[in-house]
Amino acid sequence: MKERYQNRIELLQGTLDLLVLQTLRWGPQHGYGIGRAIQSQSGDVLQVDTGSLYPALHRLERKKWIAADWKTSENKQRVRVYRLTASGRKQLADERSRWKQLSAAIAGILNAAKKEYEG
Amino acid sequence: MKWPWPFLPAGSRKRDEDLDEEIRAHIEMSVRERVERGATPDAARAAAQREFGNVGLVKETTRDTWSWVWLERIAQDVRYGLRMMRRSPGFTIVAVLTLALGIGANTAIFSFTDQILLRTLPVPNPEQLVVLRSPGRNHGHTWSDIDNGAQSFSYPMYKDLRERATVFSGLLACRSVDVNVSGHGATQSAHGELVSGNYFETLEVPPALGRVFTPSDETAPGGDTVAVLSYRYWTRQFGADPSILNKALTVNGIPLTLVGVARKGFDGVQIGEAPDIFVPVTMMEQMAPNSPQTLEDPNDHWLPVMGRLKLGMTRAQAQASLQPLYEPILESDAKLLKLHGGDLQQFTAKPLLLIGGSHGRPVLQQDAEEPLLVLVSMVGLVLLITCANLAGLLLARGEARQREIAVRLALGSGRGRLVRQLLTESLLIGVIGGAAGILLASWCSSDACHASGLAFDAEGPRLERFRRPLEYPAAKNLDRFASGADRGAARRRRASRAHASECRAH
Repeated sequence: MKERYQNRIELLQGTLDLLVLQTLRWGPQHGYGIGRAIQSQSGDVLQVDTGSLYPALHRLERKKWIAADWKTSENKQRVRVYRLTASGRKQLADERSRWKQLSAAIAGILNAAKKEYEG
Repeated sequence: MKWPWPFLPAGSRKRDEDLDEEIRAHIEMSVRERVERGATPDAARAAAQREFGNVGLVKETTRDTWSWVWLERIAQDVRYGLRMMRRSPGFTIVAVLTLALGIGANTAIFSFTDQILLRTLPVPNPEQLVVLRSPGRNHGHTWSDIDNGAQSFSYPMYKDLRERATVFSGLLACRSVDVNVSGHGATQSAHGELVSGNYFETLEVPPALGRVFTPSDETAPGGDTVAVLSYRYWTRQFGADPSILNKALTVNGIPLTLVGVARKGFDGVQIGEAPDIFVPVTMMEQMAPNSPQTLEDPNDHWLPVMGRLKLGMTRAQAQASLQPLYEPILESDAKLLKLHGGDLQQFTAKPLLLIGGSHGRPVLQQDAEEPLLVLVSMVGLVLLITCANLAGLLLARGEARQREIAVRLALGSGRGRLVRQLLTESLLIGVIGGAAGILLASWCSSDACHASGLAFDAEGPRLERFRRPLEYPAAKNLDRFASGADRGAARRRRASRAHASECRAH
């Protein structure tokens, strides 16, 4: 079972939350759709494991950053659709700025190392 | 089979079903997408399921994010444990009965031991109390319930000691007598206690109603016609009626005025004895008309004496300062007895010793201590054997369940979860066995009282002092959890050894 996941990039702890919130910014979506959206928008690099996605969705719902409603799809399938709440929007803004800081910091470190290596 | 769990939050089952449906929808959408892309329905479904992964595991980890999941898990463990117990009733009955016997015997014997040997008198600072004893030959008439009469003093000697000794904050005397009470319907016998005027003061026992005795209630022989009731007797005979205050009660034909009721829970200074009526010691000849002893004769030794040491005074210090006071009292007694030669020397050389009185007068303890300690060790061994037996039983069962455990490991249940499940099962058996044990103990404790030969015969009413062992769940819980944990640990080791690979071998 482990081998199957070897080619996948593991998401950093907490990053999945950010991606889910970001995906929901474009409108309400069900779990399957969220997974697909993350996969396609990352150019198939990120594959979201259902064992991480559903716990994350339920955790975010408990924190009231997202809310869920039952809707019936065009195929008469009852689906659970998640949408961003006001506090979720605020959380997304916070996490985005934190992510920018983090990536800038990591980029700074990598660039410094690169210069040293080249110099 | 569904099992009702009233303590689970409403809607937990609904939430489970919702999660099922959410996951089903996920897979259906995945299948549809694949079919639209041209896959055959069967291949699409297989691929969708493969992509989704282990449905049970996803559900489990999702459920972990729900706040009350731990409660549900416990409920699930208990439910499953009960199902396992129902499935093997023979094992369950044997295990529970074994535990019930082991724990029941321990509870019953421990409750006796606690009542008789461990509990101190229910008075403030019982460790300050001492019992006076003066071993050696007595002359004249000696009454004795213990210690060959070494703890019996004459009333004049008690009064001398009380006046002269400075080491006590109070020195009391008391003696139990059986009396007849009339005036409220038929004549009834009751347990009387002759007490000195400072008895309640020294023991620091306040009244529940009216007043208790003071030193002014101890005046002249036959002159103090007052009585104090014990709370127990007041409740039982008078229905806790406060209007009995200052009314007369006829005891041994003498009308006594009821001046008060002692504090609830106070049962005198002798374990196993529960006085009903307290009467001043000066009424001795009226309360015990057939006694060969008299109140004022210094040759009649019949009165037990207890003291409360002053704050900071040790027994050794007190004993040292008492001896010089005691000798002149003995010498004047010897003169009255007209003792000569060796007798005189022996008599005046008697020491005055103090023994600890925090457990009251050690009458019952004297007879019961050894047999009780033997019994306690015996039933402790029985419990040990019980645990060993059960551990063996559970090990054998664990062997039989290896396959089941291997299957569950293979299906992806966590090792910690399995261990907790097995522990829950052990604890369930422990709890049920413990409950049965306590029931057994409370059911047989009164019979055991009669059968144990602990000198309670013909003292039926006093047995009510011996409360049922239901009061000791705390101590027993420890036992139970200790044995439960033991057995759980044994099975835990077995479980960890059962690897998923073994399942394939079967």
